[in-house]
Amino acid sequence: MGEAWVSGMGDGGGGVVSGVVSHTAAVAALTVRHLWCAYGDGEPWVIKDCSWTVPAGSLTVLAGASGSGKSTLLSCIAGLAAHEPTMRWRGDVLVDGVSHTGRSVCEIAQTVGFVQQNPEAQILNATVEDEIAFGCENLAVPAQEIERRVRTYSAMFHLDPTAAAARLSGGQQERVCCAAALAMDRPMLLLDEPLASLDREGAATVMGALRRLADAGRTIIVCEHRIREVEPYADHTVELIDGGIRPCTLHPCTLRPGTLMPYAQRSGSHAGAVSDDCPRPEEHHSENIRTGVRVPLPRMDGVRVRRHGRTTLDIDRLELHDGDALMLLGENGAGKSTLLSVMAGVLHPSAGRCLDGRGRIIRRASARAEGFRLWRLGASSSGLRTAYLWQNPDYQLFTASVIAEMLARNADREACMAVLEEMGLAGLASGYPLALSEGQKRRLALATCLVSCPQLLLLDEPAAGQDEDRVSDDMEAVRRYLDTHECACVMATHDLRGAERIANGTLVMRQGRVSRR
Amino acid sequence: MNRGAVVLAVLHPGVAMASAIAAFVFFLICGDPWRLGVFMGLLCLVECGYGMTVPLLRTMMVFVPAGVVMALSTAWITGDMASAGMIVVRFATLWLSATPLVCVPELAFVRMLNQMRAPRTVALIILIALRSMHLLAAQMHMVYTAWRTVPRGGGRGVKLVRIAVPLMNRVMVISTCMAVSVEMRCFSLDSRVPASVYHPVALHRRDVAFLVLLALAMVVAVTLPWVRHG
Repeated sequence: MGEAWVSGMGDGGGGVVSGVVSHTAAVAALTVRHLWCAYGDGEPWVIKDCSWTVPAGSLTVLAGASGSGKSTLLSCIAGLAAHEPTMRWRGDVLVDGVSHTGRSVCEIAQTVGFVQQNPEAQILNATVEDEIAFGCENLAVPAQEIERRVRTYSAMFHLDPTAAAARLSGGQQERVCCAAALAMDRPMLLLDEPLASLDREGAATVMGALRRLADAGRTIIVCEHRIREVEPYADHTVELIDGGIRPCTLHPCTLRPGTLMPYAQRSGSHAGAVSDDCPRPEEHHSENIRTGVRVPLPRMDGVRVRRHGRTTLDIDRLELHDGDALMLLGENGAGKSTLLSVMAGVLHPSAGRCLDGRGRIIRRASARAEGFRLWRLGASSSGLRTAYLWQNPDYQLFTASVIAEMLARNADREACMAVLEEMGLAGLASGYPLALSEGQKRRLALATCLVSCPQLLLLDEPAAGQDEDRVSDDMEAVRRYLDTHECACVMATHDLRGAERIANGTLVMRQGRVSRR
Repeated sequence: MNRGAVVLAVLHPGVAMASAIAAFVFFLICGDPWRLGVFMGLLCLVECGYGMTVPLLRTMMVFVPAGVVMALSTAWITGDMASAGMIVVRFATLWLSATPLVCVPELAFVRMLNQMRAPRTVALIILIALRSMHLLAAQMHMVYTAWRTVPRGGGRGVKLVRIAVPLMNRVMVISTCMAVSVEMRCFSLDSRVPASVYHPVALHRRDVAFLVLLALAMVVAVTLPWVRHG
C-alpha cells in the first residue's frame, strides 16, 4: 500500500481533511468546499460545512456510523443532490477542478461513476454481457473494445456473461454493478457499500480490482462498513462524523483481521472476566454452547430444492435446539438464503421434509413449482413462531412510525421500547421507518423480529450496512434473547463481525450442499 | 458456469413490435369473437413453436386476472355481461401480442433504435417500460413472500397495508434507482451524442417466417368461418 497517510485535521465544523499519498502527485481529483445538505426545508443538516480534498489516483475509504450521511455525501459528489428537488444544499463540488454547478448529471457521469446500494434496481438489462456493454455503448466505445472489456471484467468478477442478471444472487448482482461501472473506465468512481452482500472472496476480488484501477490513476471512493476488509487496500481512510470528514478513529482492534473487540470490554460490564486481547472466533464458539436440557426445534431430513433446472439446496440432515446460533457461510449463490427460505416456510422443498420438535411434519416436498403455490399458508401455519430478517428490510416495514412497527408485532409498549433502546433506535421511535438509513432500517427489522418472541430466528445478512459498534451491540441483543428464550437462531452472513461472537456452530455451504460443519 | 443463461427465443425487436401492432389492429378490425378465437389459437401455437411457452404462461398470470377484474367491474357497472366477455377477449389478445415483446431483451430495442437513429427518448421509454415490468413482477413476488413471514393479526385492511406499503415503497425506490442508473451510464437524450452498437440487430429468416405465419393466421381466421358457413 505504500506510505499512505492522512494530513490535516478536522476542526469544528468546517475543517479540511486531505488525504495525501506519497507515491502519487498530490493533485486534487475531488474538492468539496463548504458543503451543506439536508433533505427538505426545515429538516436538520445531514452534511454540515464539509470540506474535503481527495488526491488523484488514490483509493479512499469513507467510513461512519449508519445514518451519518455517507450516501448523501456520495450523491452530492455524483451531482445528484443538485437535481433532486426535495434536497436543500449549498457549497460546491469540483472534480478535476471543474465545478458541478450548471452541469447535468449525464455530463458529470462522464467523469464520475456511481454504484448505489440496491443492485437489483440498478441492473437495466437481461444479461450480464448487455449490462456491462450498455454504459460503454453510451460512451461510443468501439464494439471490439466493448467485447474486450466485457471479457475482461466478467472474468475479473467471476461472472458468466450469458447469465440472466435477474437470476443471480444479491452478491453476484453487486459484482455485476461493479463490473458495469468499472468497464466504463471513468477517472473517478464512487461505490456505496459495494461489499454489503459479498463473500470474503468476492470482497477481495472487488477491492483488488479497485486497487489496480487506483494504481492506474483512477480516483476511487468506497463507502463501507467492513473496514477491516477494505482497509488493507486503501490509501487512506476517513470517517464522516457530525456531517464533516474526520480522520478515521475506529478502534484498531476492529481493523485487525480475524479478531473482534469484545462487547463487554466496551460496555464496561463484566470487565474483569474479559482479557485485554481480542478473542479469536473459536474461543467464542466454545463459550456459546449452552449446557443442560435443550428443547428440540425443527429438523430437516433430505431436503432438496430445484429451481431453474438446477439443484440449489441439498441438505441431508439438519437439527436445531433452543439456544443454537448457527452461522451459515459460503460464497454468493451457495444456497444460504434458500435454506433460510425453506426453514421459514416460504419455499417448499422438491424432496424431503421438515419436522417440528415433536416430530410432526411441518413442511413436505412439493412437486409443483414454487411460484404457483400462492395459496399456501405462511410460516405461522407450522405452529412454530418464526421471525425472518430479510436481506432487504424494506419488505417487512409497513407502518407510519418506528414504535408502531414494533407494536404491530407485540402490544407490550414497554417491551418494545426496551428492545428499541437496546438497538439504539429509541430516539427515532416517532420517525418514519422507510425514511431511515439502510443500516437503521435493518436494525429496526431485527428489533421487530426480536420483539415478536420467535422460537426460530432467521437472519439474512444481519450485519450488512452496519458500523462496527452497532454490529456488536445488535449481536449481543440477539445473544441475550437466545439466552433468555427457547429459541434457535440461524444466520446467513458474509460479514463475520459480531456473528462469530454469538455463533456456536458453523455450516459452510457450497453449491447448495454443506461442505463443512 | 453457464447457470441461468438466457435461453429465450428472441425475435428481431422490430418484428416483435410489428407483430404486436398487427395483432391488435386485427382485433380492432375484426369484431367477430369466433374469428378472434381462431386467430388467437393460431397465434398461440406459433408463439409456442418459437419457444415462448414459458413467457406465455408468465404473462398470462398478469393479463388474464387483470382482464377478468376489468370485465367483472364493467359488467357490475353497466349490467351488460356481453361487453364483459369482449373485455376478456381483448385482454387475451393483448396478452398474446405482448408476449413476443416481453421476450426481446431491452437492450435489443435500444440498439435497433440507435441503428435507425431514432429519437433517444423513444429508446429510453421502451427501456424503462420493459425493465419496469420485469422488476415489478419480481418485487411483487418478493413482497408477497416477505409478507408471509410477518406475524398475522388485524383485519383485511391491515393485511392489505402490509403488502401495499412495502410494494409502493419498493416501486418508488426502484424508479429512483433506475433513473439514477440510466443517467450514471451516460444515457443521453440528445441524438447528436454519439453512441456505438455492440451487437447490431439483424433480421433473420426466422423473423420473416414469424411474420409470414402471423399473416397466415390472420388469413385463416378471416376465411375459415366463411368456408364453414359457405
